[in-house]
Amino acid sequence: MYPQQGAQPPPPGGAHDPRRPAVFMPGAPTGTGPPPPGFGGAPPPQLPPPQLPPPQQPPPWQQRPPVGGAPYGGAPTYAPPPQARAPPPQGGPPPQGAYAQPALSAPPPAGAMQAGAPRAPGCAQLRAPGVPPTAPPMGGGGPPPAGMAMPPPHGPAMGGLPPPANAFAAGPPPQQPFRPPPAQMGAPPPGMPQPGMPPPVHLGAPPPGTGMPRRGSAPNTMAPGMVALGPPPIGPPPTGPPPTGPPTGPPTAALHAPPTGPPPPAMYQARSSGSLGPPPPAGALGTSGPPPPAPSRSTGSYMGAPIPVGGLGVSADVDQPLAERFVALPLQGHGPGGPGGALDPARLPRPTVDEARVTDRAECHPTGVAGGEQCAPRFLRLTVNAAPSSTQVLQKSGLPFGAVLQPLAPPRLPGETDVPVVAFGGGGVVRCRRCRTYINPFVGWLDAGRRWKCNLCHLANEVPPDYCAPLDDYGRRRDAAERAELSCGTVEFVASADYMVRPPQPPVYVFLLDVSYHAVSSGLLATVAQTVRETLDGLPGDVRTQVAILAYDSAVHFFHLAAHLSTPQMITVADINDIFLPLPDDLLVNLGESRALVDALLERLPAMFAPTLILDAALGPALKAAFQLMQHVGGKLALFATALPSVGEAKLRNREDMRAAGRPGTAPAKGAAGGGASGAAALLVAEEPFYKKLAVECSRQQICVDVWLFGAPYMDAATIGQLAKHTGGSLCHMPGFSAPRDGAALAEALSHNLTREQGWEAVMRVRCSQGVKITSFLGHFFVRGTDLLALPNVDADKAFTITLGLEENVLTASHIALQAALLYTTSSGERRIRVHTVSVPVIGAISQLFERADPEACATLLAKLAAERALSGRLPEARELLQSRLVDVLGGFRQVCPPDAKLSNAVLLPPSLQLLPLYVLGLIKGQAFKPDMDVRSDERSAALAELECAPVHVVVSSAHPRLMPLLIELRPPLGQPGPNGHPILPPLLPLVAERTLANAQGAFLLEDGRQLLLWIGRAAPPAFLLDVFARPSLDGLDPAALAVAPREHSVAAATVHALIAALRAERPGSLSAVRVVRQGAPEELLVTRCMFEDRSAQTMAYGEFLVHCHRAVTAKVA
Amino acid sequence: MAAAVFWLWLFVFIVGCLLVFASVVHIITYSDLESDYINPVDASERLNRFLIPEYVAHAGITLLFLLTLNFVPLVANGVLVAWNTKRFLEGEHLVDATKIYPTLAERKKQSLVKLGFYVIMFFYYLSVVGSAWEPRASRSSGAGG
Repeated sequence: MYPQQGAQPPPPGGAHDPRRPAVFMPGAPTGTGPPPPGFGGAPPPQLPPPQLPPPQQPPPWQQRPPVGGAPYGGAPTYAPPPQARAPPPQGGPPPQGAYAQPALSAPPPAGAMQAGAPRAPGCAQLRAPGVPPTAPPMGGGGPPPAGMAMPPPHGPAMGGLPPPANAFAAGPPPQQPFRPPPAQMGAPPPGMPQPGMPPPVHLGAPPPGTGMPRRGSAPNTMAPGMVALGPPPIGPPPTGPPPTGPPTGPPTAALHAPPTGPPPPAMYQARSSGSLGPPPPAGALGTSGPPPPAPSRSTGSYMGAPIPVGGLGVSADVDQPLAERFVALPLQGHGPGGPGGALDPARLPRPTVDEARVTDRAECHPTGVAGGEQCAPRFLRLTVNAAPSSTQVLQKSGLPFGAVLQPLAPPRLPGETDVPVVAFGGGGVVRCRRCRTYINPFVGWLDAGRRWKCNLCHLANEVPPDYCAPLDDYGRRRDAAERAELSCGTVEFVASADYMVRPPQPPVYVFLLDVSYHAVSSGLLATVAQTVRETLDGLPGDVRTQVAILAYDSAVHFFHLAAHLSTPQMITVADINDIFLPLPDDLLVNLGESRALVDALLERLPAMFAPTLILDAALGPALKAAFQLMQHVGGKLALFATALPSVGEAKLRNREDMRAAGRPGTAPAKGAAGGGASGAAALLVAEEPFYKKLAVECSRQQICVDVWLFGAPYMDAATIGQLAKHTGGSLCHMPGFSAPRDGAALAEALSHNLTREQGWEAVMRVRCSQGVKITSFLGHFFVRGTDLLALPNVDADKAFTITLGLEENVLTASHIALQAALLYTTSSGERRIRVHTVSVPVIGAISQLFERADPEACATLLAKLAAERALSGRLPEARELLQSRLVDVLGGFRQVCPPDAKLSNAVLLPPSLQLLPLYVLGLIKGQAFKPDMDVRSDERSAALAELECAPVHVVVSSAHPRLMPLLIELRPPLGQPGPNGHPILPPLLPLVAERTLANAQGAFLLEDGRQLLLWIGRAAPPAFLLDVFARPSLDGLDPAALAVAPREHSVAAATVHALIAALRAERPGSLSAVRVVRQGAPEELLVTRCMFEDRSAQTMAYGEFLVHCHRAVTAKVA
Repeated sequence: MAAAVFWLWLFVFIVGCLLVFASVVHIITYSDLESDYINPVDASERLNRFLIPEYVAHAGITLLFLLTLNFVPLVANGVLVAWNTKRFLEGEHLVDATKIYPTLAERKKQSLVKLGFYVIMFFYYLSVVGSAWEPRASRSSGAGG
């Protein structure tokens, strides 16, 4: 989450982006970083007296604690105990007091939730110790909760800023329940930040019961402070100086409470606060009851600061190397997790709403060297926002080193702008003479601006005379601000004729439709024809757009669409062994000229083939025909198939059946599998070389193939998918398509596929600074040179991943840069070069590398590496790779932890990467990699193919689906854009079935990147059903026909619609209409399989997995 | 008989030359590929064109050694034949245009090793041919006289 976003003034360090300061760790050597939240504020004496809360009513979404989230509550970020802090007043764990507090304060606001009103147990749990209506609201004019959880570093600037963050991310109003009343009273009201003082920061835990599964923002935003899971330390607070604050900063205590108040109990509490809170009401999600209060012992300490044991402690100290911050998850006794103990499930790191959103991360890119703007994280994310100074450092850290690129990523936030377009005149784009690097904000300027020094190869280039400009005192060009290429990390250059080998290609769309029996009877043909017809208007392209339609069953059907005809004519070529084009022209026609014929054809197609009884599919010949049709111009080929190719060239056999029958000869064909592939894993390897060869040919001719597979039985997605893999296309698999059920999803996906932004005949080259090399490319493309990717078509959703390595043993430069240049033709026929540049510092300290690690990018990179391995037929190895790379990371981090921490029996996680184990576990147990034999090989192939080319947010949402409670107050702020531009969502729940799905009275919304499911418990409160479905009960209703009541029906229904719309907007094209799943229904499997934190027959539960990794780490390090 | 042996060795020698030539072509192609002078599709076509003939020729002369019971070259070449056969059975002998870059360094190294081996064998064949030449020359001159 990005609490600072929108709320934080640009730090003085020269960062332009308000999100950037988050990069700097307190105490980090980057002294220009903003003071850490919580420490940079005014001294305590400046705190105003307690003030009355502002009159605003707390926004409803803050009033209600999340369902069932409590036991898994995430921790806000905590600062280390400052010197000024007195020991916690209460001997007991803070949450107890916290619980008492809300209980005393007030009942939840009346009318908070109609559905909850019946106080069914399932609802009751939702109603946590509420916020007293008079409690100081978090919203309104006050600083938003996020700001409270982690205050912006600069107090003064904070005043008057709009409430920044998502309320949910920030959690419920922190102050009421948790703190002892005096502290609460003493705390300055959040709504009234004073100039010169930081807004109150509630470093205390959220109220019990509100422990939404969120983690402190600190670890991810690199905010200072410690994340502490567990009870407050018993030991005395550290006696050192305030940990991270600048010398002028007041002690943190100021942020917790006025100096006169009793110090708040919680320094280290937090994540556990929920779990330590009162048990949820009966019937609550926590069927197993709240976790026991954390032990109050503390073992060991370092630098005088007690290490919380039984809690998650992240410590930081200004005098300490940054390494000495860690998240410690202590192993408790001899639990079920194994002989060595188990972890408290409630304290495991889990993402917050904003973290799970990962559209961009505040800390993603630090400020560039020259103060220029880095390429936005939506385009390029590095696994580590730094470069290791030597191969040894990289190896020791165990961190994956690479980048995920999404060159045409659309703006996802309201504030995000389009890429600036720069047109150089006749002189052409300014590039380095030697390495051909494009001019970028990070180059150096010499000789009063007459020469520029390439930041990749360090060659001094002459500046073209008409491009010269004077430099300022800092050696930067005075005109940098006016020139986008000198101030923006992402620019688009208008390419001159030098960049064309032929005139820009027109957008060409060829549809290769399956018209065999299955395609017609399932309604596929009708759905596709109708969707294409409706999309014709929206096809990106200008007047030059060309379209062709081909159909195939046991023969190949061409359609004569010449504009002079009155009706389209079908020409069937039955000789599939020697396929040819029956007409030289007029099969691929200009859409504008032949629009009426195309329309008529699409309208009539389903009827034309309605009586068909042909089951065969001559896919190979049809593909050859399409290739012949397009080879002179290139374009995009959409291939639809419902059956295994059975006649003509490139027939495929049902390998899955043969394997099931145990027949030999199912070993992958020679040349397909690199040894070791066996059993199910071998099915992931392409068999028939035709498809790969054709794909390579297509790539040469600038043809991109999108493969749409619909067959219920085996389709050999692995083999046919080769077409998409090597041509930059995508593979979509909807097994057992039936129009009534899947029609909407297909229509959504297809029209998104056709209308999203795309670039034609593209190539992408990635360059890096001397000393760094690209070790591999991952994704859907054809590698045409050592650093050149051929992309016949590149679209907004495609991501490409590179892994990096060091060429030399030691990097001597202070910064390294990475530049990705995508040369493509826009749909309107312009040749453009989109250049993304990042420049990151070279860092030798492993601990600092960890601070700059990006958990989502790391998880994505690992997922793609594993997918590549699985696709070469080594599925078990792919799982091992995921796990061993995770162990490498944790092992690397453990080395830099303080010795005391290592001695304590705790799992140590880097704060920045504490979510990585969860993501890795989610990947291992996801469709793509899970060991179950019941995953069809086609499904696996499709999942792997998607993983290979998916951008970061899609990978993460498939690794960690979002589960949200619906039995909360469904009122407008939910689903509406929040202050940070993202829609406000309910808090996320842990993916543990017994805590969520076991509750028959629950109702949840689940999103896993591919589908939206509305899970309704058997005994869901009638009031809720009445509100949302306009029915008191769903019994006896066909779940397929169930739908949320129209918006007008009730506020709750409208809110659910808004939530669904918000989720769909985040994943355009991939989420179709919500599907209602009732508890106990067969489709419930779709929900239960996402509950990956649970143990399954062959896999570990989350806690066990962490312990397992911990064992591996200790075994390795020792 | 001796003439037959001479011609046999001369044939082996010529094949040895061709093998050296094939290896050189491989190495040049890999180098071209590395420096982007050739695109991977053409490169893999060129490489694959030479692969099977190379395997066949090499296996052929090894068979000749077996038939003529020349154990020293048989053992030396037998190792390479075994390795080639393994690659062939694994289906890794052909160059795949889509995977050429990740395996480029490895394949280039293999080609270099092969080249070294072929060159050594080349000189071995040369020495044997040379030694086979003298008797033939004397005998032919004797026969002529």
